[in-house]
Amino acid sequence: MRELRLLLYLQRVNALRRNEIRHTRDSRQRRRLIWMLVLYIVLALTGLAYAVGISWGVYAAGLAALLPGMAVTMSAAAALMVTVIRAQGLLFDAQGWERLAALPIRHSTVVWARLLDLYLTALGMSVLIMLPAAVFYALAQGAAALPLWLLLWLLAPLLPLGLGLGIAALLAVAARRFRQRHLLVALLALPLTGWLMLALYTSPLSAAGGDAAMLDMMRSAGGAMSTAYPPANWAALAVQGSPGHLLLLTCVSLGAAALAAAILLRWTPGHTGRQAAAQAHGHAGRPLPPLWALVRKEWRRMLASPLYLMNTGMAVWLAPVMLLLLPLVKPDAAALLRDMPRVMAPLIRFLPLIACFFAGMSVPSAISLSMEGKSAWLMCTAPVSAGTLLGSKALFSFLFCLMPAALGGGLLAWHMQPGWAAALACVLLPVALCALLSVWGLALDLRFARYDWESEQQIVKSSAQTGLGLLSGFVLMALMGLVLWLMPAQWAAQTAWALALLLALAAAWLMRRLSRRRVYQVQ
Amino acid sequence: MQPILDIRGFSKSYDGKAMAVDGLRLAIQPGDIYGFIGKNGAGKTTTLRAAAGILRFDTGDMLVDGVSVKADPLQCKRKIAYIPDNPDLYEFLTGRQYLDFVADLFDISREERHQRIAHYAQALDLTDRLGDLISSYSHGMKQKLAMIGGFIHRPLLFLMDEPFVGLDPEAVVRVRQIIRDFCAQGSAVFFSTHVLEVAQKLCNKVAVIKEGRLIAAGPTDQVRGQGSLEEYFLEAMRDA
Repeated sequence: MRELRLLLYLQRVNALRRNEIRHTRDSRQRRRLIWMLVLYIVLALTGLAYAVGISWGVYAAGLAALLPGMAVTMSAAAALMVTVIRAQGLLFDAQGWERLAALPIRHSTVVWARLLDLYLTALGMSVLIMLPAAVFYALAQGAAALPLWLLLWLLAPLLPLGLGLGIAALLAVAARRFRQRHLLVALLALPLTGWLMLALYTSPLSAAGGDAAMLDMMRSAGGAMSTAYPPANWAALAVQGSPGHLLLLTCVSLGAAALAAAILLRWTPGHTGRQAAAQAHGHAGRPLPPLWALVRKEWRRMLASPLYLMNTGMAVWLAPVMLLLLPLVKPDAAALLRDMPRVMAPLIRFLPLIACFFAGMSVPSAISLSMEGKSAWLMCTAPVSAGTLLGSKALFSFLFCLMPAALGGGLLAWHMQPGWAAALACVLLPVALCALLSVWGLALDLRFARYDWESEQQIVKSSAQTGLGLLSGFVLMALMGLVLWLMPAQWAAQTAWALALLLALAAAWLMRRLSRRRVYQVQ
Repeated sequence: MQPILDIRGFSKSYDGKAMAVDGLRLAIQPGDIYGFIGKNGAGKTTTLRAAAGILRFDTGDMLVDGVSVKADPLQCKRKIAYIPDNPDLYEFLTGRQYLDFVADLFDISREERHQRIAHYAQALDLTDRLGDLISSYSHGMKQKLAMIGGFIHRPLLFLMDEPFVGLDPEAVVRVRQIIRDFCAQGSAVFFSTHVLEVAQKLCNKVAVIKEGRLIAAGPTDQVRGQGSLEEYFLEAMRDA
């Protein structure tokens, strides 16, 4: 138990960089970390605000009985996603295991500590969804059910945790057999995530058609969730006072988590050992000009780092994947939307902006300098100009996002059939946004670059530039939304073209300015 | 004769108060194997990193083959090979991919790179491991790879920070020979070391630095006088 407590402490002590904030003597670094913490809190509060909004909407519509099922389903989806993503780094990271291998700690304790870590993270996300749902449910039905809500909160992440661990383990096994295993993990995770999101967002679309469908949306959403995820139905019935369903939910949740834990306890250490042994392969490359040699190096770095790939490069690929999956998940979704004139008019007006949504969340360049880490001396001593060096990072970031951004926009236009002008805007605007964000991300990283990290997690997940890159995308999209809203609806496509041109020009101007900067590891 | 590295009043402070290096002046001529010795924290690595373009500095200047590191760093970097004390290389590349990357940056033709990589990899007994990921290398192997990366573009100036730490005895002998060969052809080596025996045997000149200030520099025999370099160094650390 003491070992478990110590390991958990080790894993959690620097969550949100709290420990660094407390102990760093560098006041500049402390300020930076505090800003980052504030950013995390803002993001969490935004998530909470969404959950409050949805719960209030359901409560106001007089459908509070749907809240338990909806909350459990949404918590489960969040827990599943966070488990699949985090388990790759936490459970199947060979280096992490090797650090502990020489210590007098049993493998089973390490596995338990990491499973608990994943569970606590899922609980943390779940509370943002469950708390407002429980409050509005209590307002409608009375506070008597609140203890049951507490139980639901503890149980809801367990089944998705078990499922997520199973998926993560399968991904890790499949990936081990391939040289570009991180790319494979991403390729396997993408359709899964896309399918989950599509199932979540298209389920409310009722086949009834017309604007009336909008009024049934919440009711049908609750029904769809219960059908798609039976534990949501059990949770709803349990809160209404059915002990049988409560027992069923408890047994299934605990059973799934215990089964996944038992399998991992036997299997994880061996797997990670084999993974470490399977890492020695390679082949020679052909000679390239310096710019393309640097771009190729960036590509290899991204493929070598699951954290980097999944956190900065995946979102932009979600748009084309989801739009490709749409005919399989909900074949009539586009037709149903087209039958809703009150939805379609604003949708068509803002369609180029919608096409930008995932592109705005992908800024690989925002950490590409910092990712050099302790090998930054190679970058500083390379006989290439700052323009070539920084240009290679911006170019890689842009090229990586270019195809999915254009494809996503094209597919969105194909599904929604908005006319050729808007269709062109759907392709141009996300591409131009990718170009600007690629350069802007680099500018952010130049400002906040940090090379002395010990774990990629510190840069990929917890750096100021990651959060600011994401925020910049949202701010840019909000501004473009405002411009599109202010302009007459019939000029929406042409406005989007002009915005795309503006973004491209801004990218070129900023890149020119950055090219004059010099890059040092230490100022 | 124009020095290959001319350090002119170089000073560096990390916090704006205490000087890590204070007014350093030193000239390294073609053919020199120049040892740079001092205690931990004396300013050796700071000087080497500033000359390599890793550290920004405001006071003084450093000229590589007559070109200022501050004014035209790119031109200087083309003539320099820097080998750090802890060779943190791109662990996601194989040894071969890393050397190809370096060769691409220095625009070395396909034939030349193959020939040079084969030659130095064989000399340092690394040929069989070039296809492996750098993350699987030991410290010594990474050090050898970093050195091959430095050798393949035939630099005019080698800046090396503790280059022999972690190398096996055979590799030390080979590296020393390669360094001598380069210097015989007009290159120069400026390296820091704590192994005074190596400095005495290998270097034709040494510089001694204490708390950021140069306390002695010149031909090794002159600096050490009648005793060994070790004796001189211990005495200098007490007295200066």
